[in-house]
Amino acid sequence: MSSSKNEELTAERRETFRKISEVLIPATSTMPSAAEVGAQSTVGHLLDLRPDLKKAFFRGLDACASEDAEAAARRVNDDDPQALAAIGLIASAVLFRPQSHGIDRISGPDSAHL
Amino acid sequence: MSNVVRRAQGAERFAREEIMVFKKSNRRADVLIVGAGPSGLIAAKHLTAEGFSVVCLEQGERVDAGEFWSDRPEFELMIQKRWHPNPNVRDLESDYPIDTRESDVPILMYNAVGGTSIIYGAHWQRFMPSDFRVRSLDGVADDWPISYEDLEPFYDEMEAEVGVSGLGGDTAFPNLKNPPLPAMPINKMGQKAIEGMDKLGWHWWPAPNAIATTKYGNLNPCVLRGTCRNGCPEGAKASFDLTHLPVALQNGLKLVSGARVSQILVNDEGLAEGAIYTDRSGRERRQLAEVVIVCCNAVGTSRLLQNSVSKYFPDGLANSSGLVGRNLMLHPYSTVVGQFDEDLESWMGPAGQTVQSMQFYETDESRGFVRGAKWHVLPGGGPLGAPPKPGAPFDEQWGQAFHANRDAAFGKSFEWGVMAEDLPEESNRVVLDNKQTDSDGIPAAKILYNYSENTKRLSEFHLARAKEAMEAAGATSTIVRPLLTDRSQHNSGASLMATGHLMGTCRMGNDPKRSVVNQYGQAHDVPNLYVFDGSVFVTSSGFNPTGTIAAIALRSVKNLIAERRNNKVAT
Repeated sequence: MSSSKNEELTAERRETFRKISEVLIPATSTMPSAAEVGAQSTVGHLLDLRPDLKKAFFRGLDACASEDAEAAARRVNDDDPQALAAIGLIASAVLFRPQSHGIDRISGPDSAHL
Repeated sequence: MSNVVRRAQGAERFAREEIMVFKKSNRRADVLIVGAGPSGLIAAKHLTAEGFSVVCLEQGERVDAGEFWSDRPEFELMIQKRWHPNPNVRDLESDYPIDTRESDVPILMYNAVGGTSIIYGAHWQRFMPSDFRVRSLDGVADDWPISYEDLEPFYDEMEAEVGVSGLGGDTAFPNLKNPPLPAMPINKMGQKAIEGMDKLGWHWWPAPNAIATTKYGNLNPCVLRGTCRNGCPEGAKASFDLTHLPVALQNGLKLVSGARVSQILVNDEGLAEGAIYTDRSGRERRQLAEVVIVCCNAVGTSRLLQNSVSKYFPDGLANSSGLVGRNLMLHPYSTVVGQFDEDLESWMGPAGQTVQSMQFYETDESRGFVRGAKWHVLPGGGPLGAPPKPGAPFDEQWGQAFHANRDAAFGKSFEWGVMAEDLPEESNRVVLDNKQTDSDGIPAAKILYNYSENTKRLSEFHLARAKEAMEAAGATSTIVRPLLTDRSQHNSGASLMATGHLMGTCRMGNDPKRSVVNQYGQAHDVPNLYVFDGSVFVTSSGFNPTGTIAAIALRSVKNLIAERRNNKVAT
């Protein structure tokens, strides 16, 4: 398989990312889960900004593909910590995109002029 | 006209222009400056204002404010790579590799027009009078050949040129006047820090920053994004591409960006006569000059001088003392983070600093070490914070813990940073890397650096006091982040706080056997070669260095201008 094929964001990989991100960043009473705010649709954009993460990100997703999401995430955290860290970082970035869920305060102090 | 013809004519015109540029580049300039960071652009502005023809070679490119991510939602993702302060993490073509596997501290550097001021925190500090006399006062290191009083007028002048905000009268300093702009707001977190300091009776003062609080020259007023260390999209932070470059260009400066200098040239009289550099099309070029000023920071300058080997200078240029590259000082850094129950809006800038303390700055022998540290209050950052820690226990980082960690810290935490004075040691040094080169094939730099016992004891003492200060302020918990010890993590991007202020390696002094340059940055061995950057520091102080780098550069260039008819030059 070519390297570009290795870094192709297929529908299956998007779905795996959605499931894993739901485990890593679940909803609470005050915050949405990463999956709820568009993990599947945003992931490509974020990976394009951080191509250095792609290799570990896809390696981690592929290792999680055929198993229960939580069990897989825990196993990859032990077996390939860099891969789970890459998935977790992208999931975190999805959550903290303010346009994802309208939490304006986390976008920074735009209104805090001197 | 067909596209083919248009392209052919364009290519011909381009070729003509290239030839003209090449011919012009062989013209001898009055002064060649290598490096367009703070010291280089200060020199360029003042030399061109006096009518000197000046060429400045800079390996990086100009940065447009639109390149910063600080006003975009993906900001925190991007500062962990593209805008990381450690060049090894960024890994841009304009950066050169720096081997820090044998260094306790990673390196903070940015290669661009404006230099590291593009990403500095803009803490604009003066040194204390005692900082220039540590041998006399404490029996360690060496005294500087200049005093605070020698530098004071240049501190004053640079504050006006740069646009410093702050409040005069700081009781830690003698006769400190108001800088040109009012101080940055202290904000809720600064007020909280002050509560603790007041309970303990410890010194604090609103901190000085090279950040505009009102419109000032080319600078816009700060809007408190708190993203200073990753580029200021507002143009409020005083980076030198904004404060000094425009005037220098207006005065006739010829700036060549993307120009990577491999060697300083010397003539048969042993004088510097220019430099060889590679442009971005891969062509090797030569720029001649009567005088050469090196302003590449303490790593880059010593690397360039060591790479400038010739039959006259077989051990590197200006290195008869053997001290080029030695006495590297990096400001070991440690912090105490306090977490509070209340919302302190601690994502808000400046970052930058809001409050500083010199309570434990001067030597007290009962503490078991000499010298001290400056403290400063820094904001807690954004919600993403540091990157995930690979291999950390799953239940401490993910699931409900993800939200709990952020709920506890985001907006509710800040840090007291401890900037430890780093005493010079000859064994701490920059050497040429015999295994790595930059993208133009020039030998890279390797850092050999170990914490001293004095630094370890100093840091331990200060962290204990900073923890007391946090607890006195009402912190519900504290996280003590001691000196970095895991060298394998330097280039992982795990910490967004690369420390490594760059000082020493070509220190100034009166004795050519114990120093590389004199008090005006003039090389003892090569009378028309100058160093104006932080390389010339004799000691580091416990203060962020750019304010002093700037004052020294200004003093040095004014001396060069005043002595223009008395100094030997290459002809």
